[in-house]
Amino acid sequence: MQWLVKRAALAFYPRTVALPGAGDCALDEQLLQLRKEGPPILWLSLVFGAVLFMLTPLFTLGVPLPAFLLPPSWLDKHASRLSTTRFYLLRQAMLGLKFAASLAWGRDAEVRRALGIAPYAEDPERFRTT
Amino acid sequence: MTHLAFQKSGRTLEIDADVVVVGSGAGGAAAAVTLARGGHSVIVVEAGPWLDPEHYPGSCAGAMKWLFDDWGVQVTRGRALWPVVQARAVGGTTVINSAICVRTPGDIFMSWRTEHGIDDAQLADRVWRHQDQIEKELSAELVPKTSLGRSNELAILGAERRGFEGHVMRRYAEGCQGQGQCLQGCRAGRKQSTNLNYIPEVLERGGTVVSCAPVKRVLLENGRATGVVGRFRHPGTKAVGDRYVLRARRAVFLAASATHTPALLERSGYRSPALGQHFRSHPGTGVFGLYDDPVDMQIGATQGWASMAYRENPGLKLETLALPLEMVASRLAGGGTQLMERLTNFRHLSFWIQAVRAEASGTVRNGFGGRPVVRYQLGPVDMQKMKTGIRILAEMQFAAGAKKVWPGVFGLPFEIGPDELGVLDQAPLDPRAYTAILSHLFGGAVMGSDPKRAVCDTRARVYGVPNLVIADASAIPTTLGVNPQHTIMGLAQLRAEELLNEESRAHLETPARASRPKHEVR
Ligand SMILES: Cc1cc2nc3c(=O)[nH]c(=O)nc-3n(C[C@H](O)[C@H](O)[C@H](O)COP(=O)(O)OP(=O)(O)OC[C@H]3O[C@@H](n4cnc5c(N)ncnc54)[C@H](O)[C@@H]3O)c2cc1C
Ligand code: SF4
Repeated sequence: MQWLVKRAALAFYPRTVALPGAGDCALDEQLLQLRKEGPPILWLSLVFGAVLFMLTPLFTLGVPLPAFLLPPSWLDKHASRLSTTRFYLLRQAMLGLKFAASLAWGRDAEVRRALGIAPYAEDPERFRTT
Repeated sequence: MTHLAFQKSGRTLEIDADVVVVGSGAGGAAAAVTLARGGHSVIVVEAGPWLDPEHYPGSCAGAMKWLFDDWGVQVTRGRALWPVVQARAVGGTTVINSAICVRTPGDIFMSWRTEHGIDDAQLADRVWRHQDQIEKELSAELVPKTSLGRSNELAILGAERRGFEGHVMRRYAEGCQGQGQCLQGCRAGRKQSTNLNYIPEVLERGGTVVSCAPVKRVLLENGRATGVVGRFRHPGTKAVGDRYVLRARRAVFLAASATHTPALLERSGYRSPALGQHFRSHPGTGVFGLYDDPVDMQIGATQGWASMAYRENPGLKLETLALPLEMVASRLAGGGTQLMERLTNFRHLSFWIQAVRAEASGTVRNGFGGRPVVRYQLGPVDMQKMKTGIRILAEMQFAAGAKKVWPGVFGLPFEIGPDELGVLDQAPLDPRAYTAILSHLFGGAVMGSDPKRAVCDTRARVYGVPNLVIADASAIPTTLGVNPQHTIMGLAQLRAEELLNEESRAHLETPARASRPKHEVR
């Protein structure tokens, strides 16, 4: 299911002239970490959101295709419309996908360089054991 | 001096002490250090890991994994799904908070007296006396001018021009360097979270800290709390480790937070009609201002300016907040190239927030896997306050020179200009239209004089289990309208002092009392 979540999450942060997109960042690693180490409900809600993302172009664009078959400009419109839909739960599900992708995007050194802000220090992944 | 972290040896760890304190955050650490100073042997048991500043993560993802409770994804159940944010680490939420230090306002003690029967004429003075001491010990000081950063400076200007009170914050941070990373833990070691002071002092005084060890149950036997049981949990892999039994000869202090303490009591078989009731909060939301010149909110104190001008009416506290890029990226409306375009403005944004003193009351229950379930929803009166706050913040942003504001309310335009402020009056009262979070939490095991409405008495002793003491935000029966850490700490120290005083009185009455045995680790 990770590829499905990734496909959906990528659409929210595409590469532009000014900024790298989520696809240029360590999104796979981030999603793997969320799946393995995050609370199960978080991963479930991401999968749920990704499925909704794939199935809803009919409602946002009037196109009877799953989102992964949309050409880039339509996909872009779909992501934009879905994240501002008036259906609250759908909007929240998209917020979850954005949250997951933003964790990888916002920490990425290239993204931060492009914005002109300082890179983060490494995460030491350590704690006191004695 | 013993710190025991994740253990997996196949054995059961058993330790005895005078007092077991569950949770090492604001309340737990303050109570534990007072008990240790009073000569008691203390075990502090904490669900999360112990991180020192050199272990603190740089990124938000790292903070969520290593410091946040459940990655910060717990949400309220109600019309709106708002995150309930707290920490899970030695030091509790003080590790990820902004260390804003505000004394308990006098009117709060009055409302506790009239509404909850907490009829102690000396209470305010006694809490304030502890707060004096805490301020000294945790180096409460104004954010240095050189560390304010532009977002805080603009807020000072905005409030001045709007003509209402505003001030530079006083925080438990010694020489804040303005690195804007309070949420991920202060790597500069300036912020005085309790993992850096009170908890190490408990160790120095001979106490024991057991980390990575979520308590499953409090042992309740014949109307007394005799200890706690649980299993170690690895904070990274989530692997389950050894079982432990921590026995308390005198008392158990619960300080697992406003959501975890009621859930723990419920898991332990404690029953009371008031358990899990009266959960309250200050839901927070904010408004972005877009400026011509860079604001660089990530440079400067994470939070450095506040206003109490609206605390009484309509019931708001205003503050600045530096949001990390990740949070701005997920919080801004939209997706795709339109969102990316908005994000190119990151350095030109300031973010100012309101904490709403909400009247709503919710519930906390023990859910699947020991996770608390919070039901909470704001009604129209509270939503009107939030709506008013959005307008005040937007006016302030424009007064400070913002060319646009981004109110972040569903149903309103994404961006409004200075001559479009009237649009904000069309904001809906539906909580689902707002992206808010709950970070100031209260209640769930509240104190009061009526056992039908309160879980613990006016000295925070659990009804029916007098040696079980509530020493965290869950005992607080109202909202405060100010940041809660100082109140929680003052009350927790008072509870510990009361136990010590009571015992010294009993000791004087029975001089032949057996001498206190040392810790026993089997
Ligand atoms: C982002 C953020 C910023 C904030 N900023 C400020 C601020 O600037 N000033 C201010 O006054 N307030 C602030 N607050 C609020 C303040 O930090 C909290 O109100 C306060 O820390 C709560 O204290 P507590 O003792 O009730 O719980 P906590 O400090 O949350 O401590 C509870 C501890 O108990 C542990 N625990 C939970 N369950 C178990 C279990 N089963 N077994 C063992 N241990 C357990 C937790 O892991 C945690 O360490 C902020 C909160 C947040 C989330
Ligand atoms: S703003 Fe930076 S230096 Fe100041 S207390 Fe927070 S993290 Fe530490």
